Amino acid sequence: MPDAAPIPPAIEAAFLAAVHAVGLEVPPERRLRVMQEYVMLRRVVALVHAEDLAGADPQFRAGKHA
Amino acid sequence: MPSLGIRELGRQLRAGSITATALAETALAAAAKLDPTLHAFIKVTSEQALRDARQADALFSAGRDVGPMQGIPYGLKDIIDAEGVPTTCQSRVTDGQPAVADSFLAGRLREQGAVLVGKLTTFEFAVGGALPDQAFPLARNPWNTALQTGGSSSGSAVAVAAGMLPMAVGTDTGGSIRLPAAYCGVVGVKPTYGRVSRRGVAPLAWSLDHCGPMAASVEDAAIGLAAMEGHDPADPASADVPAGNYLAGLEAGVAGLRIGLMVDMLDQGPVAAEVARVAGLLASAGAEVSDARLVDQARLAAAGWVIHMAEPFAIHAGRLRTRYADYGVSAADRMTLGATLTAHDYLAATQLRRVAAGRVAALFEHYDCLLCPTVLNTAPGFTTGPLPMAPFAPARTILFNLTGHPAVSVPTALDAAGLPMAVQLVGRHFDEATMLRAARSVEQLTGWAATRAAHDLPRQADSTFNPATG
Repeated sequence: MPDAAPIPPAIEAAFLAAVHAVGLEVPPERRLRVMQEYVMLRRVVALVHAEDLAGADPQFRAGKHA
Repeated sequence: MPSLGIRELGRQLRAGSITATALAETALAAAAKLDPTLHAFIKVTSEQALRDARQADALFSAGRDVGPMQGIPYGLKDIIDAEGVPTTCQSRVTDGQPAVADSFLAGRLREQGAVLVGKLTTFEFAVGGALPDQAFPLARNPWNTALQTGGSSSGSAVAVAAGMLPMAVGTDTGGSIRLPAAYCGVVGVKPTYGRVSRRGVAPLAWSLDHCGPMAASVEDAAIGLAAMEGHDPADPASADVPAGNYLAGLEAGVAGLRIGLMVDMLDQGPVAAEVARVAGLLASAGAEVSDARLVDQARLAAAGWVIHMAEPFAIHAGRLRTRYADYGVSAADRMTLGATLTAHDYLAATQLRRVAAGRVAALFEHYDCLLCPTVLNTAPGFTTGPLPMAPFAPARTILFNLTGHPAVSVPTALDAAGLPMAVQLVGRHFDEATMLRAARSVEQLTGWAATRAAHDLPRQADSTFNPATG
């Protein structure tokens, strides 16, 4: 696996909490790679939750700007 | 075999100058010769193929014609059931038992006399990437065997590209037909959502999953699509719509067609330049080509990715809890990531999906077809590191899984390294006919058939990298 920046402890804790919450146990030797992808996924999710999302959907625009 | 095309093969079958049995034997011989290098097949169904071919020949002898696929060899991505053959999903998790029934599309092809030659490799459960630690060897790109094929319909693309089969079936949840088609230099069609039933196909993300043909030419893909479509009440998403007539207008050209060049999906680089070149060719052939804008395409792609990650975990959660170690790294990691998403994430993505559908539908008020890249790079090498995610990846495919519009990847030229480049054409819902008509023009205008014919595949690489072991 290529060298990669270490996973910040807070990110690791959030990841492990999320997977434990649904009953998954990721073996320690398989955590680094999946957490590297987890960091990417959080960027993807942040895009989805961009601030003006509600205004983009006509159904919600009226309520937002009423 | 692919250089003749399905229509010409059918003509010769009906004229009696070749037999379906001889065609099946040719496909089996090609697989025996090439597959030890290319790994397109998980299972070659030799006995079944020869039996089906003899039945097709018997029908021809009796004067019975059940359609253009009669006697034509084909393959199925190995997440699609064919009665009597195990569906492995490229996984150690599946039980290896033969499927008890045909999938809807395999049944349709069987009714029309097509000859199943084998089950084709994929990424485990059609998710993730070309990482080692999968149950069967990973496919190699016939244009350079040191490179990967893209996926997840990797074996389908390779079998067609290398001339082992004239048509293969793939599935596409975020680009899994179109990406390997682009990297391997074949035509890949993701039909409209609901056009082809998914009954008997292992789901990945049920609201994004599509099945479709991969072939050496647009005409062959059109024939394949017509053979596998049809309404199926057993698939809740299956649409009760008239069958498409894809061949009637295929050669009509693009004069007068309004084609939108999706400039927000371009970037720098040779593939983006190739898309612009193709736009110019279409304009020179009489199409009305102009820039089409899609606001926030990256954010819309992100919404597709969240759904693409969340739904597989919902399907696999039970097995992941008990058999995590039996999943390969690629599939397990992607499904584990799905477990970290919240209902809020998923619902926000579904809200954006409505926005995406509305914006793309609005474009079709002004255009008959949209033109964009399939993917902004050519075939990459193998990696064991983290895989890119839309919208930060070079693929430009998931948007149309999200909106359900039909899309086709068409190879156009080779880059400086001799690797295929491709463009993507997108049509209105259930108007694959117009999309394929434009795709056929691209094929003709770029002279792809001659480009392909000038190269014997596979091209062996010097690399000693073994993707089965990393």
